[in-house]
Amino acid sequence: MLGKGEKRKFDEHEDGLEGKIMSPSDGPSKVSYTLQRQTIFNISLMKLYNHRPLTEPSLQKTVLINNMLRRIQEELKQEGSLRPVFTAAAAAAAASPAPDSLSDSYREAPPALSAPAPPPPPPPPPPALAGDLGSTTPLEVCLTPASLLEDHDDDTFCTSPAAPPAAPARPSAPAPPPEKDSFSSALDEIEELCPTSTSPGAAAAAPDSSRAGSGAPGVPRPDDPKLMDSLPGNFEITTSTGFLTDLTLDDILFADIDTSMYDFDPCTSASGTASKMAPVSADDLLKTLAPYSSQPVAPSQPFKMDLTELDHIMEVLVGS
Amino acid sequence: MKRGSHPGCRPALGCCQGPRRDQLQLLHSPRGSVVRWRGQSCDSQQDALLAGIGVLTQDTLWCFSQVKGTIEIGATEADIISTVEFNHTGELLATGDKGGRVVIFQREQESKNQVHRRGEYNVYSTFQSHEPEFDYLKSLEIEEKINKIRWLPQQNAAYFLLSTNDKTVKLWKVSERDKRPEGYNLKDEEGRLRDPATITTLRVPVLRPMDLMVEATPRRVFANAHTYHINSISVNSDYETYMSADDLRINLWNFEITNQSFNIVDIKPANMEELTEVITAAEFHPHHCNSFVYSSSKGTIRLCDMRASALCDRHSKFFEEPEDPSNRSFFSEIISSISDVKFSHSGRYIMTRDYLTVKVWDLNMENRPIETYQVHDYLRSKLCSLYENDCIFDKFECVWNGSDSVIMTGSYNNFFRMFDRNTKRDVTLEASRENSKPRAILKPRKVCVGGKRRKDEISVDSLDFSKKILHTAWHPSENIIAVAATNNLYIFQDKVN
Repeated sequence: MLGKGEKRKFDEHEDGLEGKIMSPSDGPSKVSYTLQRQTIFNISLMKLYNHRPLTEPSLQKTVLINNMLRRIQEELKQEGSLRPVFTAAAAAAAASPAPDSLSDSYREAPPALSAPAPPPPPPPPPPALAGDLGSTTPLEVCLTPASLLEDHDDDTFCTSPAAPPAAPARPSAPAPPPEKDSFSSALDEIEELCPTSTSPGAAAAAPDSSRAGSGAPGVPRPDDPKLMDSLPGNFEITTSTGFLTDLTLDDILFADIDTSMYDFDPCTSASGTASKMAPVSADDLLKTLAPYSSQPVAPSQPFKMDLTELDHIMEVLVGS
Repeated sequence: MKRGSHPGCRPALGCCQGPRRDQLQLLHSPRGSVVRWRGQSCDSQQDALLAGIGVLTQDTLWCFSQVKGTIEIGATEADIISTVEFNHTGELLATGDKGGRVVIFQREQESKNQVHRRGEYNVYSTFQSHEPEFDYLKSLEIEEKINKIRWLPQQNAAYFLLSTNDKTVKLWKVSERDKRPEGYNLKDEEGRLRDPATITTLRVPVLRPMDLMVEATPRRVFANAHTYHINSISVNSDYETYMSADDLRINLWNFEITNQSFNIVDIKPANMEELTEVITAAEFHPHHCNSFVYSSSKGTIRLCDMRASALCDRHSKFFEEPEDPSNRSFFSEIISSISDVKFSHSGRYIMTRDYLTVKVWDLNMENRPIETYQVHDYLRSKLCSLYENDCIFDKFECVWNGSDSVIMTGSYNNFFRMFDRNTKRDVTLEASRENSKPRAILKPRKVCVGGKRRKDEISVDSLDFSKKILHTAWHPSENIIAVAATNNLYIFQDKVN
């Protein structure tokens, strides 16, 4: 990274990677731009979901990273905007895959697809993004360290590992952490990120603001009605932040505890969870998953059952 | 060497070139006194050179004065200094650290004997301001790190300051005790109660001198008003109120009332998903007790007037510079996030610090700053790496000097920068133990951006990004600066001739 003392090789190349926004029309710089964008996207997701501090993460940092992710998703969406986006609340952001002409160039730059690292509590973003950058390339994560970009070397890019490890298509969400406090902090994270209009503590948020203490987190209700309702009008926002709202209580409360997730390895485990998106509506999920995911939706049967069970349990929870 | 007698000599400029040693030149100062270099060590040679240059160019020369804190080996994370602040007279200098401690230094009285040595700062008081807490509802720790210290103007013999961590603001009273009462009737000298039966006479207690003791007591605790992390506190010019700002809200307090505060700014959206901007810093106007500014993570500053409405969600003025399209990148928004905002002493200008620049704004002009200074533009091509290692989120502060003519801010590699607004000259200096000989003049540093690196220059790739100077302070009336470098506090003064 920094301080290695290596000489730069190509100044112009570096500019293309580090700095300026290129017009999509230049060929090779478009590829490097895309690569950089993807790298930044991966880094951002890692930052958001891998941070397990004992103290609350900085809200400013979280907001800035979220904005970065949103912007990238917007770009991706616009670039691939020939196909209409489906019920993308579940699929979230930039759902449509790139048209064929572009996918060729995407294939050249080995890319780092958007299935990012599975975090212990929060879920990964939808695989629709995976479909976006090359529906032909298998779901894989190839984290190109930023230092490679700087020193850069075209060869390194093209020869970076391409084969994804076999993705165990796990329908369950990433395991929640066994410790109660991380769970509560995840709960709080949800609460902060999701609409909390029904949670008891936050309901009186406005008048309470001047006397606000930490507030009782309460149980955030499932987002599906809200997302579905807001879909037509608020499409932009919900889709672009869809990956945030994917974080439902379902994942945390009811997922199987699977410690294999703790062996975090960006190049292996990400694909495992990519196929599972515990979104709010099981049906929508399946509809959207099918065209985009290159992974077989074979586990759909038990998958579907799990989700209906989850829905049911969720209703019970909310009802009580 | 006689003036004018050798090539390269330009007597008109007062310059004379002697036999070359490391390309140093001998300078005659315009006042006619010769700066002797023959037979002196290289360092003082350089000092002499710098002194000469300073005199010629009328730049301020900064000298090392003191350094506080341990050398690397014994340093723990709790010793990392997180805030530095002079009081209104400059007599006291307070520092807060990550361990929740506050250390106050006091300037010693200048003695008539040593006119050339200005008063040094010595430890006056040390106390534990905040303790780590645990938020049971969220199962998260609340750090005891002191985010900000602000002094109140002195109104009696005691000193008052506000110190805050992420959640709680405290008002501390620091007072001296140099007398103690003796001769109580009901208590004996050790404080034990006397048996009333043994008391036969009545006496009046008298005050006797004792060794000076400085004690700090918490007079007020302002808690439970912030859901998010407090980033700023600012004392109002009415000296009765102050504000505390967190990521989404700003609260107005009265010093006397701890169980209630008024919310004056609230930018929390109804739906947290829609949150795209947070408050990063806030400050009251130095003279108008109704005005304050707050900065945001999107690079905007809002000036609000509390007379307009109780909730100042609508600004009176909105300062934003249009984005430069040639410099757009993925990181444009992040590097535009303002980390510090400071009013000038005059109240006419505000200065803001974002990741790569310092900007001075005129309160009367909202559409762009009047001055922009590049702090470390060579980092612009490194933003991706800096994003990866989180350095891009570092919050640098900035300060004005007493006359608002020079501004200062920190950088990496223990460098800090000063910009003279009048002469448009700037200098990069380093706070390091190597330069820490008493009254040694600080040598200007230079970062080379590419191509051939000259001697004494440092290349961008060699910069140490773990050594960052985030917190600096400038004495209110003199050229004395305090620079916090991780766990060390450096005090520099300008050269006294």
